[in-house]
Amino acid sequence: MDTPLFYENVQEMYETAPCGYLSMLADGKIIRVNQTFLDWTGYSREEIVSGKRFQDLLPTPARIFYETQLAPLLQMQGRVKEVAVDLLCKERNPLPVLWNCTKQEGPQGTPAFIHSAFFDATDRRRYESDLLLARRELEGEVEKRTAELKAEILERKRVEDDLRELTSKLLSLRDDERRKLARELHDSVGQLLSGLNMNLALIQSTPLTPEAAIAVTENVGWVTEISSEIRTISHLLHPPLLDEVGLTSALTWYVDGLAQRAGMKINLEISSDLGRLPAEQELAIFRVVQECLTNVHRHSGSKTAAVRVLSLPDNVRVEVQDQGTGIAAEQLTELKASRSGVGLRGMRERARQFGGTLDISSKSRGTLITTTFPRLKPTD
Amino acid sequence: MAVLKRNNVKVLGEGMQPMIFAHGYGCEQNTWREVTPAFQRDHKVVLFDHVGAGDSDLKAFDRDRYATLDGYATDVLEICAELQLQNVVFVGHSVSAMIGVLAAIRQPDLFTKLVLIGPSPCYLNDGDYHGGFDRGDIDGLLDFLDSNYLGWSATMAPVIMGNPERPELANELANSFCRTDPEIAKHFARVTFLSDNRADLPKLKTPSIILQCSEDSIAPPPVGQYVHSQLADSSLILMQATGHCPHLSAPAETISAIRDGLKVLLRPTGS
Repeated sequence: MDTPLFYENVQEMYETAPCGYLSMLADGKIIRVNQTFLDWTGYSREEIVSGKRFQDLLPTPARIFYETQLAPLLQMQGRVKEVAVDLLCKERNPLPVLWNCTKQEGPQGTPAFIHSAFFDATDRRRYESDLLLARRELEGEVEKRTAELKAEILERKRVEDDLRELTSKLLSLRDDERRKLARELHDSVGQLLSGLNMNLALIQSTPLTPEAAIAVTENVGWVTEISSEIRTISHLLHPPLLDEVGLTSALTWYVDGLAQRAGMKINLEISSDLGRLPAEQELAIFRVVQECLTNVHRHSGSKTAAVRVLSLPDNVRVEVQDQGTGIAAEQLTELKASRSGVGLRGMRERARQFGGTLDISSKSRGTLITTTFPRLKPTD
Repeated sequence: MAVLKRNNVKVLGEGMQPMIFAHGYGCEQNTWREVTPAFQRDHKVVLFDHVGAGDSDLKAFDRDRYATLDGYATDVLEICAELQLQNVVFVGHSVSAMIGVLAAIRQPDLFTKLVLIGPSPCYLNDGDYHGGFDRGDIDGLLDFLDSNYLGWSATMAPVIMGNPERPELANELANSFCRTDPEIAKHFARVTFLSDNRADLPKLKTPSIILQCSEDSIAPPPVGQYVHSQLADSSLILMQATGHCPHLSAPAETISAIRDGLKVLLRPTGS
């Protein structure tokens, strides 16, 4: 292959290559373009190389980008690749291209050149802008949906808070009512029964017919039974031991009583170093044990139960375990999600009031309910 | 220390008087590399990246804090406070020129002079004022940014950010300098090109030098004139250099323009 022909081919290749070539000085002044570039943009060679600057071929947004980012980039790294840009053709119509360029340092004392190659990217850019549009729409949808969900979550939280507040109020109301009822039973009914007892003793000391004497003795027995019954009811409503001596005594009394009444065998284990807890917390723990054992008695069919009140460094852990039939898996899920079980919800709420937790696990051989109460400083 | 990490602050040079260089929109502190060596002998040169640019801490980006240029000015003041700088010469390019003006209005005692390279208090045309652009141009720029995530890809960026000790990772990207998270870049573009701080100019008491390129389509000469007319104690230096980044395209001229300007404005020391 002889040189002139080869040169001609290279020149021809440059001019008719399937991409536009453009060379400029660092300030953007265009010094050479190939024929493809002219064909694409509609300019004549004279129009382009007689002082036009590359920036003049860019629409304003691209020009801002060029001046603020691409020109500095070119200076610093000597090349820029894959810039998606529109060139302004002679008829002011945009030609979407992909643009690559490199800086060629001239010999000492001569200016640097920037050589650019442009690839027609009409289809690709249309496709990209479709994608962009789709992405923006999607983002808009996501944003909208996120806002809706946020509002929904907020509303649900509000309802949940309301429900909790209501539960908490109900619990405290019930505690108050029970306390009041317990006191009234003890004070008024108890007093009346005492009076009745004294009168019966008086009657017994007078001469009576044998039938009357038997009736009075029977009455004395009944009054004693009623008194005992009333005391039990009153103490179950609100155990006076709880206020006077503390949780350990109150639980011992309650567990013994229930074991006797229900014919159950209940093992009670309380850490010896438990000490006194704040009054509201002692009441809450008592109520939790009471609720659990009532459930064991009523629903589990278990004749044995174990209650453990463990004093741990950070919290008091209350465990109530039975050997009953257990809770069906479906029902357990419902219970855990707090969707059912008024008693359980109450217990959970009591624990929550002190920042504690309630956990329930159940198998075919029994149920274990664990409640934790973080330690508070004792009030006295 | 958090401030220095947040803004990727670098302190160079042997001199006493601090000279803090603030890069413009679309750039980062490396853009000063042709200029700063000339000042390192006589000054303490402080370089930093605006949050969102360069190697700043992207986690520190906060849309509300940086909703206006004032948030960026706060960063400048915090950097000066952290480094306990005094008698500061502030060199700001492009939007950072205005950031410097805002900072100096808030703490006039901190700065001895401002060097404003290609400043523009308002890029939009408004009545008789010709900033150079219309709102549509700026919206177009935001669209343009959406199709050009230069030096940024969702898969590569976390790799690069997570391995600062392996700069070669960044070089694998076509355009590694001035890479910016695209969302932050768009935010900064919006804040920059929609800013209007014309009313702040008369409040500046610090002497200033305005370096104006002869052909600058971002901050055209009439805008430089306008800034000069509004700043009380300013001198306007018209440069031969063209374009918006003379510190890159004509570093020698930029260096001597800054030097000349500092000489004029430098008050006798010890007085």
